[in-house]
Parts: sequence; C-alpha cells; structure tokens
Amino acid sequence: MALTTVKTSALSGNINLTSQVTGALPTANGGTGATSFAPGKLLQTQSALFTSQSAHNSETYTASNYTDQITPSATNSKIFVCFNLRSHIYQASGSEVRSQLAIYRQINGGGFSEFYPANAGISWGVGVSSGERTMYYTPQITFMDTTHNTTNAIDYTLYARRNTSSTGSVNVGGSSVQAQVILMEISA
Amino acid sequence: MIDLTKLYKALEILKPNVQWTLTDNTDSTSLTEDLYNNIGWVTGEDSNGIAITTNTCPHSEITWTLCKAEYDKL
Repeated sequence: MALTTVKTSALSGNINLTSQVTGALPTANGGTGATSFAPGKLLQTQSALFTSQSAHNSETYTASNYTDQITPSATNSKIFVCFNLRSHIYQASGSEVRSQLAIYRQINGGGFSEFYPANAGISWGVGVSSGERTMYYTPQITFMDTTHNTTNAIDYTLYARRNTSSTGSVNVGGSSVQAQVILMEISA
Repeated sequence: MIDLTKLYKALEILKPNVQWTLTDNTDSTSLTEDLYNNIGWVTGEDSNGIAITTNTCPHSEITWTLCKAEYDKL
C-alpha cells in the first residue's frame, strides 16, 4: 500500500490536499487505506407508515393498503424490500384457520403479480378442536428484488388470504398498530 | 377502528363462508353504512390469483340493516 506523503512545502501554513498530499492514509491513522474514492452502494430509500387495518376473508388474495413505490436509477440495481406488520387471525370453535401473506409487485402500472415468496404464501395459522381463538403474529417480510430490470416505478404491496378449506377471519393491522414498508435501492 | 372479528362473525351468521375483504382507515369504533359499503365481496379470481370483488353485495341474505343488527348484538 502506498504511504501517505506530505510534501515539505506543506509543513508551513495550510496543506493543500489536492496538490500537497499523495498516497493513502493508513486506517490506523484515521484514513481509509484507499488511494481512490469508492462511493456508497445505497442509492435511495423510500418508506411509508400505516395505521390502518384490513380483513382478508377470501380464499384468493386481496390487497391490503400496505404499499410503497420506488423508481430505480438503474436496471441492474437491487431493491431491498422490508414489510413490518402485525397480522391476526380468529378461529371459530372446532375449526382451523390459516393465513397466507405475500408481497405482490407491479412495474410501471402494468398490474400486480405475486412476487415473494414465489408461488407460495407465508403461511401461519391455528387449529384446535374446541373453543375459539384469536392469535397475533408480527412478521417481518424481507427480501431482495434482483429481477426488476427497469427504471420505471415499482410498487410493492402486501396481499393476504385465508387458506383454502380453512375457516375463520384473517386480518392485518389493527387499532393502535403501526406497519411500515421500507424500500432501498442498492447499486449493483 | 371497528372490530373486524365481530364483523366476520356477523357476516358468518347471515351467510356462512361468505368471502369478502375490507380496509378500515376510520377512527370510528362502530360499524357505519359508509364502511359497510366499502366491503369488497369476492366474486371470482383473475389470472394472477387475485380476487375479483364488487362493492355491491351479491348475496341476498346480507343487507346493511341485517349486518348492522348482528354486529351490534355481538
């Protein structure tokens, strides 16, 4: 590694960093050890906060209003996606209820399709032989989108449904409950 | 916000296994007709596996008056 050199002409008065210093300042001396500047990888962040609730008592996916949009600056950048939320289910006596959560993606307003997890929801539920139950779950759904290949706007939205052949109520959010969506564009 | 589990129970009394969705952004804790009219009644599924819904209730067993009455009884 090249050592930092300070020219003797700089030893009096101010040091001109553009002409009187060369090489790399060692990390032990507070430098980076680098001879050139490498910009950060985090290009932009978007976030949205929600306090609403929604019911998803359907065997096919329905949209929540937990959603956010990001417009990548490059087609090959990665999008880090994070949904923090609370879900709760109600199971009637003697039945089973299972919830499926999934993130749907839309590019340039072209319509939503299931994106994560691909072709499978995040499943959770409860089934007991007697008595009714309400259960709460606070999933954090995080993943990296490396396939968008666009600089158009991308929407990510939480969808939910009740599993086929189960009965009960599937909900997200609730009174005094916050949810947050965070999107980060990371340079390739 | 309303009690979504109570609304589920009320609708199950009127029509078991009815499929619906609702987003509630309100501060009201009582079920209002405006909110009831925002219920999305599932009528089918599109090619992306997303429910097709309508805000006009297609079930003769369910009306605003009957739903409100059952909700308030619970």
